[in-house]
Amino acid sequence: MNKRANEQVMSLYWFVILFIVAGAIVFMVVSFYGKPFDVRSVEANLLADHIANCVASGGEMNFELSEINSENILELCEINLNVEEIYNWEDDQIYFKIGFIDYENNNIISEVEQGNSNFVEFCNLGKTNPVCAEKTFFVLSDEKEVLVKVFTGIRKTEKNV
Amino acid sequence: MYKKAQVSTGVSWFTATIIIIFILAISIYISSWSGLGGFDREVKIDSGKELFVTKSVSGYFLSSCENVQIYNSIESKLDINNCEGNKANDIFGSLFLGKVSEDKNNFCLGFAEENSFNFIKSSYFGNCRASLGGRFHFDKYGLDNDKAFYIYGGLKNE
Repeated sequence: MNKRANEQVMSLYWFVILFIVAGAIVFMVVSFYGKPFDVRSVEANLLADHIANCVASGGEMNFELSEINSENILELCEINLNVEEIYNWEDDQIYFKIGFIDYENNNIISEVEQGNSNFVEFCNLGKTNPVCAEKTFFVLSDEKEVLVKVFTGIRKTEKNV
Repeated sequence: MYKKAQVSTGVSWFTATIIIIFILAISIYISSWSGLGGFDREVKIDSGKELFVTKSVSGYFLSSCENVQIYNSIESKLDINNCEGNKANDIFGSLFLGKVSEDKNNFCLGFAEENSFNFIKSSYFGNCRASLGGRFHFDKYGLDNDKAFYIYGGLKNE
């Protein structure tokens, strides 16, 4: 009788331990994978790469410098800034600016920008701030040597942090 | 005697339970800490090639130095003169700055046999032994006579 009682206590003990271990594993998985991965740096670089591929290829500009402006850049480069369907975000989470600089004298020939520039001053100031990237490449435009500076910024803090 | 044995068994089970809970608590703490950003949860992609360098190389080849197109010049003499080297420094220096080290000179352009790419040479950049680790950008442009033009950005051994 006493032995049977002992076995019942032990079974109950093992079930309790089993549930504690299973619960702990579930908690660990949720707490590790439940937090988002920050992909804004990748997004900023991909956008910069897309703009660079659009603006120039084979070492030369794809368009006349006078042909590109802030009004037509989205259409020319097939860029859609309104891609998020959460948090009621529209096109205010992305910003980019392209600067065309004369290689000879470092003068700015023209600048083209789109998106929300309000968050740019907070770029790269920590995890809860927007992530921005700036890259420059060298290209020829009608025999003129031009440095193309591409600046991209992604906010989307709530989704990535 | 029988009661003493029972107490001893009870203490063993109690100790085992404490150890199990302790191990679980540590695991939960580590996973929560890493989930809350203890580990770097930023996603990075390292392709070994940088698009902006590749684009700049094309522009560099098409541009001129002392009224001679750089591609024609370096292809004919398989070397880089001062004018071409200075221009390369201007164009590529800032692209490599801070990528592998804070040294602006952590890149080189030069020539080597098509398949012995780890030892790149040119008059302007000298001898540059490309390092497999700490590499930011590495690209090859085949030329005549089994030679190739290389651009390397990363830690280098002189």
